[in-house]
Amino acid sequence: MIDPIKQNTPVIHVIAALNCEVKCLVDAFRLKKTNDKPFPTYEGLTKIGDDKVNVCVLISGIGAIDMASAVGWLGARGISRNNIWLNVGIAGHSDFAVGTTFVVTSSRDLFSQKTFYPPQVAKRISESSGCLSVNAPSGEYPDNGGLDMEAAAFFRSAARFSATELVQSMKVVSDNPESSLEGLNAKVIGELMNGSVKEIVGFLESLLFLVRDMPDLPAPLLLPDIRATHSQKKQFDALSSKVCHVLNQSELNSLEQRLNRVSNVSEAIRMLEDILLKFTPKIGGG
Amino acid sequence: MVDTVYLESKLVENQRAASVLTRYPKADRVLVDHYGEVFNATRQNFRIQKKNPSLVLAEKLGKRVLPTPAQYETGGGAHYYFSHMLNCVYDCRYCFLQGMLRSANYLLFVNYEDFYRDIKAIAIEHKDDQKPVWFFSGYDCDSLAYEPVTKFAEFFVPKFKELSNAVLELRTKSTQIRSLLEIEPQNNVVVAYSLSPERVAKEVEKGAPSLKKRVESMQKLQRAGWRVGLRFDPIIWHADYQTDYTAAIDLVFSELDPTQIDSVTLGGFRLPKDFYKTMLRLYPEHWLFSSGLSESDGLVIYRESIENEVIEYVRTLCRAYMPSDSIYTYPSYGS
Repeated sequence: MIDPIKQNTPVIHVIAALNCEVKCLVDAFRLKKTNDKPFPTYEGLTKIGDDKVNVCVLISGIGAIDMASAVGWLGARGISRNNIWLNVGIAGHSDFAVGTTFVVTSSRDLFSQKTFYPPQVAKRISESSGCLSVNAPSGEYPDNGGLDMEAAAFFRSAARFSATELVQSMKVVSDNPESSLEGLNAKVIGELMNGSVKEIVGFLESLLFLVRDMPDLPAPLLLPDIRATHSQKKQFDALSSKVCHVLNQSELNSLEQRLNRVSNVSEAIRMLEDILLKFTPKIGGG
Repeated sequence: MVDTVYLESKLVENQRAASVLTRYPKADRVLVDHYGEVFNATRQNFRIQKKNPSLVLAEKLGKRVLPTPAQYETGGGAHYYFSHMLNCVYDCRYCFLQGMLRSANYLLFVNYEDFYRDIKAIAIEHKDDQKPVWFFSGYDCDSLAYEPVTKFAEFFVPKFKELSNAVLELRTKSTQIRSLLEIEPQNNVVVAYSLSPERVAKEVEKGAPSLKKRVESMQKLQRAGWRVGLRFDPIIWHADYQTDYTAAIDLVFSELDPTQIDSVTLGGFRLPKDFYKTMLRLYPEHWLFSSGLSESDGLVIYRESIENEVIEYVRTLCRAYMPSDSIYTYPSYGS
């Protein structure tokens, strides 16, 4: 079970088609296999750079449908808007040598002809390339690009659960026009992936940096146990979110006590509005 | 530094795009059919992208030069604006672009010649007007901050020599004024500086030059013979706003010659409601979005008493140095 560190602490989701594509990461992060079904899942708390984060590694199975199902299944469990999603795995490439690690800068789906451009915000040291997703293994490489089977489905699905800057794919070249797919097996793939662990972890560190200063969602003020319509609740929550950012903790504690004594929701809303009305910002002091 | 450049495929042979690309030899280049695929894609996070924006090179089709809202005038006749670029190298917390655009990437339209053709056509339409027609640049970007890369002023400023009934206003906070200082000043170009007190600039205008640096640049421009304008817009209300704006205006007018200042404009913090909601989602912790605001006619603006107070206070300070008819205010109420 993922540790609930803080409501908006990001979780790193790493998804691959095959177990051999992520075994090196499971080992590096010392993750434990869970009992979750239907997708094999490994989880644990690990240190990446300066951050202690929950990492979840999931194996989707081969192809777009399995990838989309796996992302949907995992996404439905998430609570943070700032979760990181990384697809890793092997890919063919027209130009790069076998063993090269690259970040996918554009992902085209052969079937729909749609292209997704994951925003390139995180710093990286790896190569980068576009990637074409196809339905079956192929030795026909696109011009200047990679070839895989899951990236397009991954991007399209994972972008529903996080900001697109945090949804990325990193591939390791397993084949190219000079070195065919033949002979690829779990052992070879594991070795290829093992050689890219450092780059993958480095990239995850850069992705974590992007969300490091995202605001902590303050513990929301609780609406007293009084009748309120849906729109009154929404109004209270919106005001409460602002008030939480302009008051210090002792002022918030005092406010909570006063809120507990109100007799109706309008009074509670007025109380929050009044605080904001009286708030005068101080430069350098909030 | 830009790590990734997106380039519209049709611009692969474009000379200006090629010149921009030479500035970033190590950047990844990604070809796109249309800039919108990258720039207007959904579910982007402006705040995250602002940490390391990419550059998008594109061609602007359709309407390139648009009339400004009626309120925004600085003494000219008809007023238009155009944007050769969307987004800015600075990160000002009050900037409406954060609420308007999905992406924080720098979108540069390289077809300057088309922009100029449209500007010239509009200037010709207004050739019989009593007052000159104004063209504002810098609403959706900073006109000069990216000058070493875009060569925007280098291209457009000399072009306005051909337009005797037109004025070009370059809105900026930048100290990138070399391209202007290297040429003869033109009477139909105004370099308008957005100004805030030093403490406000430090707090809410991340990456922008300090007030002192901006004033130094204005001084150099003024001494070289360029017309400059002052823009206190938005005026940021806070506990010490009177002290801060007094110090800022004292500094500005102690360093500049008021008789050579083209105009001063003043406005409060104001945003369309939808932009405000987006910006509040991006920066829920920022005091700017929780202080002194109210909603009116689809806008989120300072409460009337606050807006009147801050504009009047700063206007009074400016009137000590400038004639009233050179000071323009943009009130949100009762206009």
